[in-house]
Amino acid sequence: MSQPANQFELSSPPEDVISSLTFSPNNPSRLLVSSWDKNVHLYDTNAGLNGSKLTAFPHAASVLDCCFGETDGSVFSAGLDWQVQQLDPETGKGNTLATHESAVKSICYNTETKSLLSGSWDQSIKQIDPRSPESTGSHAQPHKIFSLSTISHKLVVAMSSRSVYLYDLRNMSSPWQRRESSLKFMTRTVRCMPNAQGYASSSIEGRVAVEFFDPSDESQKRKYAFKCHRSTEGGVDVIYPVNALAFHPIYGTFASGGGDGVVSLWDGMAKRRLRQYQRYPASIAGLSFSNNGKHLAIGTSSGFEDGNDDGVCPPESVKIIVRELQEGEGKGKGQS
Amino acid sequence: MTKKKKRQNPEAEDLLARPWCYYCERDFDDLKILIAHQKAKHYKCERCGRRLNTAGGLRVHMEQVHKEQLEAVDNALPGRESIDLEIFGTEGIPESEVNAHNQRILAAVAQREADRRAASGQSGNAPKRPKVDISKDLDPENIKKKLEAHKKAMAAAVAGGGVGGAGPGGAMSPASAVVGGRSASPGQAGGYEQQQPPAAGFQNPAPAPFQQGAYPIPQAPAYPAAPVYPPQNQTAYPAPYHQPTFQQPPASFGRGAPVPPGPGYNSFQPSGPPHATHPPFSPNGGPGYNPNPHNQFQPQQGPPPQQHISRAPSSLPQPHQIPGLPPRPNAPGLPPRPNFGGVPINNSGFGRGGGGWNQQQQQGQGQMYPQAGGANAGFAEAGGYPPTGPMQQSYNQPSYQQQQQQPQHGNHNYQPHSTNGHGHAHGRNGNPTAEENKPTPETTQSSLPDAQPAEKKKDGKEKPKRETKMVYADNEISPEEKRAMLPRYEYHPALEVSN
Repeated sequence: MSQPANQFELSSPPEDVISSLTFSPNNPSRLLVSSWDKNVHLYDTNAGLNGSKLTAFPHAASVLDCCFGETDGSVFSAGLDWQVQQLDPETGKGNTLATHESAVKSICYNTETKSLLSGSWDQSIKQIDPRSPESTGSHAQPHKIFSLSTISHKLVVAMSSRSVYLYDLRNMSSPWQRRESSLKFMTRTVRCMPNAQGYASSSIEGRVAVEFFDPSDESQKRKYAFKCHRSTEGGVDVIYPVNALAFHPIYGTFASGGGDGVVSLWDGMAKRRLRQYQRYPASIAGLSFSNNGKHLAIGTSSGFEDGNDDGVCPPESVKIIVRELQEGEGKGKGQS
Repeated sequence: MTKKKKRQNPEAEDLLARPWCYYCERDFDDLKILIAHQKAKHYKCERCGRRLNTAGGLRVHMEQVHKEQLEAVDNALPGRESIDLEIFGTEGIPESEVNAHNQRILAAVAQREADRRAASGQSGNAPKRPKVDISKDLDPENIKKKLEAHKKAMAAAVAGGGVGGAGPGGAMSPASAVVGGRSASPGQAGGYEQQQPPAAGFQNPAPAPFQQGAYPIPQAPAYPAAPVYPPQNQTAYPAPYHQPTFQQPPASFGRGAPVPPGPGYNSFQPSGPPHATHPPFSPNGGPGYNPNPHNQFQPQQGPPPQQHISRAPSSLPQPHQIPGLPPRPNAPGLPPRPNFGGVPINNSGFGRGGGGWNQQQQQGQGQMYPQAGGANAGFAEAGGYPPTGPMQQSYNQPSYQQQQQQPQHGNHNYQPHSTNGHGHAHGRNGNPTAEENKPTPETTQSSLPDAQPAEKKKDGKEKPKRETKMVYADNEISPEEKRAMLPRYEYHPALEVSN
């Protein structure tokens, strides 16, 4: 499939599976990509025809997550080397902020408290102040952490055994709410709504749930889940994991990416699918909207997620596609 | 009333006449709606929203107005995105695709019929049966002969310890196996009636054609067709056929058996082999065996199973293969056709999942359903899909059905690909003993023809189960953890630090 006019593939993609990608919250053309190739890559998606790579930050081991801090000058990463690092795009050097007892699966930066949250398979989360890493707080959790997401003062911690804890970052001593995922299978990803009303989570079993923070009954009644990223072959329903979720920063709609290589846009309020893009040739590993909502970055990588049993990822399946959204594309129904 | 009834059980001709969209396999009440659908869903310019009439028109529009190259038709099923076809309404669809589409409809109709029969335990209300010329059989000479033969048969059967009747349990009697293998119907009478060639009105002589002529020895085992059926058939159909079935068929014959005696028997033979050799067909309740009035249907049974058999073993992931939609004339195990009653262009969010034969899995993509509250309504409406699959069934309830989930965990861990045939085996009404008793059909569904009909027999009301396969089925270890265990990513921070 040659590339349609409204999307392009970034040149020099990572050499191995993409673990996460995220646009800068400050600059619509800065894209940060972490990869199993032991690097964090920083791209300028606007440069030239197909963007260009600005920097690569080498790590000792595969990188599992990355995020931007307060400015584009502070970038964070975490991965299989058990460490949470702050990276300097100027020098390309890393500086260890905290060390977990196992691989660090997920990190996210909270702008309200100006703190970095990290979650690890060692069943703990750390709240790190990048300016004074010595004051890091560590909080034990009952299970391995799979995904973190934060908005306003809230932190959503998705763990194994379908456990989901909600924290108020101003009081990390105990969880604000303890929940069980409304999905019956392992949680893949959790992402908070930009309006801080709730969050969406996805599971390995082709399903996405939308839930709300407010513990009141009315709010909890609004939660729902739906199936997606499935296909039928020979009468067999093939169910793919939903690896990636990303909310549109302006419209509050969200995109989901599955092991089937399909990216769908959903209107979580109207409970409708807005778009489904042509299938990409490999599993969707990461999704991110740019801060102005004009672009959607899509990372694809083959592996366990699209049925590759030995986890082999052919390098040609690793791609970063930047899709330009049309005027109003991604706008929910009934939104003006 | 009559109209409504018709909507519930549309005839194949009506379905075939419905205009349908090549790109998403949805069908519509009339051509105008189809064209409106195509303009809205497939030929709409994503830049300016202008609706063109054809893919070619859209391409030219994109080129001239937006200076862009149109690569694929929007919202099309995988494999059908090509913009080279100039399709307007139903004009321009390649003939092969039309045939494949028609075949899918027929298969769905047959399936539905089988389902209904299975559900009602009878075939009494089957819509239309071909009128059969029974004059030949009315020849008194013939009747006498048959009666004679039948009596012999009875005597022999009794003498032989009731071979015919006792057979099924012991899996000894090909006759019962034949009957069992051919019938997806749970009721004894129903099954018998469906298959038995003799014409209406024949009470005693009815079974005669079976034993007569070619098979001088009235013993059931003499059926030549029997060997065709693999032994699995017999095991798959254990109990349901009792002695009475064999010995008192007349009860059901009064209702008019579909096929004339002589030819009837023969006509069952040609369709026999596909059944025996091409497993995937039987889950449908064996469309090939349905006394389907449409002649064109039977001949068409030939190719699809063959195609499928080559695919069946390799039916696993390779995502790019999954789309294999169009080239397959008649995918086995197709869900019944949805949306007979129309529901034309609602669900606006509905792209690919718009309808058609594979709507079942995609409807989940097309619309989202609240878990609580009107969930049921949501599903039912959007699906338009009475004999809906297992997933929908179970998810209609606010929480998933435990029965279905638990076993999956157990069996699926670490071997996502062996899960074939598992899903459907879990009866909705969860009958654990039944499952235990039938490990074979369960685990090797793809190679066994009769797993599903056997299931149906267990419980006439059971909905047909859709098999499901999770690409990543390990519910404890995340893909990342698994990847981290691969030698190439191995890393020991402690060592590195101490160094």
